[in-house]
Amino acid sequence: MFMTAADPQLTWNLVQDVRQLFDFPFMVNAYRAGSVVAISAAVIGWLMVLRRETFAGHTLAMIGFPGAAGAVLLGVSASFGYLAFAMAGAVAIAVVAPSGRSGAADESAAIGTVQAFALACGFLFISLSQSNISGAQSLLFGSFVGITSEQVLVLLAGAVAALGVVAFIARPLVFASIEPDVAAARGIPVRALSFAFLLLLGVATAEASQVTGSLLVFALLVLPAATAEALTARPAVSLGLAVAIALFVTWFALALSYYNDYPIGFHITTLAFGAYVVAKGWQARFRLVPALARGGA
Amino acid sequence: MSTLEGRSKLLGVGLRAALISALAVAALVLASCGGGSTSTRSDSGQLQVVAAENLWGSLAAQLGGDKVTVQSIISSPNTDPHEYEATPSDARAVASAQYVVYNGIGYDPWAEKLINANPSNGRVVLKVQTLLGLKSDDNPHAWYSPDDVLKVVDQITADYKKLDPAAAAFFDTQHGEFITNGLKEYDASVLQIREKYAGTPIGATESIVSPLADALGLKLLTPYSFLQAVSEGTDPTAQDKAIADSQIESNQIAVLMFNTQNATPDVQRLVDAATAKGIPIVDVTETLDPPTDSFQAWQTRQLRSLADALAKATGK
Amino acid sequence: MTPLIGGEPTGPADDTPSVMLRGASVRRGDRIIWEHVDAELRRGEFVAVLGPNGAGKSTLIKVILGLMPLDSGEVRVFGQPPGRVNREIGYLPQRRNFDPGLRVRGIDLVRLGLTGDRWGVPLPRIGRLRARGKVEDEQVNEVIELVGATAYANHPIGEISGGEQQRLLIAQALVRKPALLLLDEPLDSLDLPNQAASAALLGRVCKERGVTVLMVAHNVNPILSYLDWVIYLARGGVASGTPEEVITPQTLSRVYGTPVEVFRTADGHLVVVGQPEAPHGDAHAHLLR
Repeated sequence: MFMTAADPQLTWNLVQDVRQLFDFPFMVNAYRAGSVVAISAAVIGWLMVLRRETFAGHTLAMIGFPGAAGAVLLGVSASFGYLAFAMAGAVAIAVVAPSGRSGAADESAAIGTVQAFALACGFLFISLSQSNISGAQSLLFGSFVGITSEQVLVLLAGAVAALGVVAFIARPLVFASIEPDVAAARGIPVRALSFAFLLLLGVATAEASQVTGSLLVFALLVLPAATAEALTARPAVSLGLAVAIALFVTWFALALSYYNDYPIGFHITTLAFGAYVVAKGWQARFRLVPALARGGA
Repeated sequence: MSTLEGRSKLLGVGLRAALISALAVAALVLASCGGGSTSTRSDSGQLQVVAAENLWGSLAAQLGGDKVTVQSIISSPNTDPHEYEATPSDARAVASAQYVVYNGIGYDPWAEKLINANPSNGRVVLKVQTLLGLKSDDNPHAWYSPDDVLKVVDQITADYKKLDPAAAAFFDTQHGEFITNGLKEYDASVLQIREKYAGTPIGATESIVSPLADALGLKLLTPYSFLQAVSEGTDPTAQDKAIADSQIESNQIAVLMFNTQNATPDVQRLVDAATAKGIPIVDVTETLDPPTDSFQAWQTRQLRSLADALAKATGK
Repeated sequence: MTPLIGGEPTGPADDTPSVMLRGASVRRGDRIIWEHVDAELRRGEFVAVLGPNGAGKSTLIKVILGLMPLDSGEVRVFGQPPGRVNREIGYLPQRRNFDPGLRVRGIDLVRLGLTGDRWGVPLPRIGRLRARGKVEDEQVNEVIELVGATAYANHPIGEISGGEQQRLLIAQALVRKPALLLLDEPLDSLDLPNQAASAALLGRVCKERGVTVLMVAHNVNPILSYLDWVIYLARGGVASGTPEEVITPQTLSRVYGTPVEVFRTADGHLVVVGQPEAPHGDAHAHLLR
């Protein structure tokens, strides 16, 4: 890592700063990939938060990691490894915990074990690799400097397919998520929808992992949706907000990393978390002021 | 419909409109730009050269003289090349370079990713692995083989002439200078050790030494699987460790060559054992140390300390 | 009064019973849940399904919805086998507590009742679809007004009281103007004032809109004045008839299979005493308060 005087500097001229971002093809690809991934993660993450299945998202991301490491070990693209393992993980979760909701204590023990096992397997594959893959850092914490145009197309295709399915099943899925009994009585296939959703979640986490890394997928999958939820209860608005937040966080994070060379995962997580804290503070403002007044009087 | 609902409905519509227009703009921007960048020369008309490792960079700089500007990505002795993660500034450097030299042979996969992510017309890339006809799981440390270094030197000059035909004569002169004068002491040291100490058994901590040992005619006794394991960051087998230990115990090796940039606990134990036995340790590094030294100065210094150690050990 | 469904009257003639059961029985393994259930529920009737815990009251609802098959006998819903006409049925499952953090509004819940089973990409409201969207909004607002929930329909569902949630759920069940409303213990978790209010609402819906209301209940008193029919399920048997016919010592003794007394207290409440231990070991008097 080295920064020289010739590196782009942040100036007060914002237009120029933004234009500088796109001087190089790798940044253009990074923005394309980042935007695609942010949108699909925000939408599917919004549904995941609605269904209270956030554990599933994180677990699938963790399961994707040995998939990616294994793919590199086999000389195949890491993207396919992420996807294959995440989908397999989705099937496993659907079979083992069909209810999906965060539940009993023994369920969380099983989940914790699965996540730890996934991490361990990933490291095993990395160490088995004959050709010194550049450690686990980019797989776990994300990287954006090596995204090729082919990768962007693959991400785009996956996101379009996944979001297409989501759009088609959106209303019955929301219905089944909030009121499974009533939905079932209406003839909505609740269990099939749950399974389909887990598969979509597998796609979304596999895609997001390629920019944020497996460990920080939360930042795009959960935080934008949770932030939007704190600001409004209107579904269409909160979905739109989640997408907007995810996009802006990703764009800012890419720009920051470009200018200061810090890892992208750090910026995304910090910005997403910052937005969340602000939103929660805003949500709590009515409780806070009377509480302070009571304390004072 | 209450005014509250009316207001929030308006907010929803406005928000939706804003979001859609933002997305549309972004889509247009992202769809339109892109394509490869055309690397341009620096203001002074020099070739922009990027080397993944400063050991190759040093060669590129000397062979290009003032007709090139060389940036090396791995340039600090504290950076572990096996675990390096490319940064945006590295990507920018590769994107703007006209000539890129990188090792390959499984040593720097991040470099290949950077090159693929930044297609560029008119850029020439030298992948040392391809030049030497090696595979990704071969011993990556080609710069420790004097013969391979010569091949790379020749290729760099050829590539420079391709990129800047007008300066071909200059590059040929630089090349001649480098071979005759630049590498003179380096060649001399290699020759001297080969003549005096050929056949002497030595030990090493990593496969970095293997090409050099071959070139010098020294017998490298440490099992290759041990050396390779250390290089790849895996654990050597218990059997290999036992063999290495016993070689030290029974003073079978004259000197122990120690890659100080890859000192795992196993390796450190070996070094300590050798020191205790009075076996001279010869420090070597993966990349230029100090980074300001030239390739030949660095290598020659290491060869000299090797010669001194061999003299002490064998009394010759 | 013919209820309007989707703006058009339904196919079957007016006197097709909403629900018809003949000799119906359900088993689980070799245990009989209930058997010999006969009932013909007409349009616009208010029916209660009563009985102790574990008697299979929810099972009856599931049978009508087509979610569970009969082991013998017949069941028809609007003249069809169950499960075919669920579009005409509004359903309130047994008490659900919404996650207090759930950020969905009551009005969204009601709208789900209207459009939630519609597959396909949600299209923006432009052109032709704007008119349809307006009609849907009207339907949603109208039914929310009907249940009296206009004041809090825009609040997140997790933040309003149980009684208020209940009203919105009733609105959700009614938004498609069903001909049959099935409720599984809707008054169970409400306090007395809310029970009375809900019962009055259901009674109004039943009479004014001609909706058949079938309600599983523990406590008959809030709904007693609206009831047209009672189906009483107990371990020892089944009784089906008007409240006056069923809630008598004779009928209940037969149904329970042991002597049972029915008293009317000073304030008009009914108390049943002497029934055998309920299946779950609850030995207290089954208070039909």
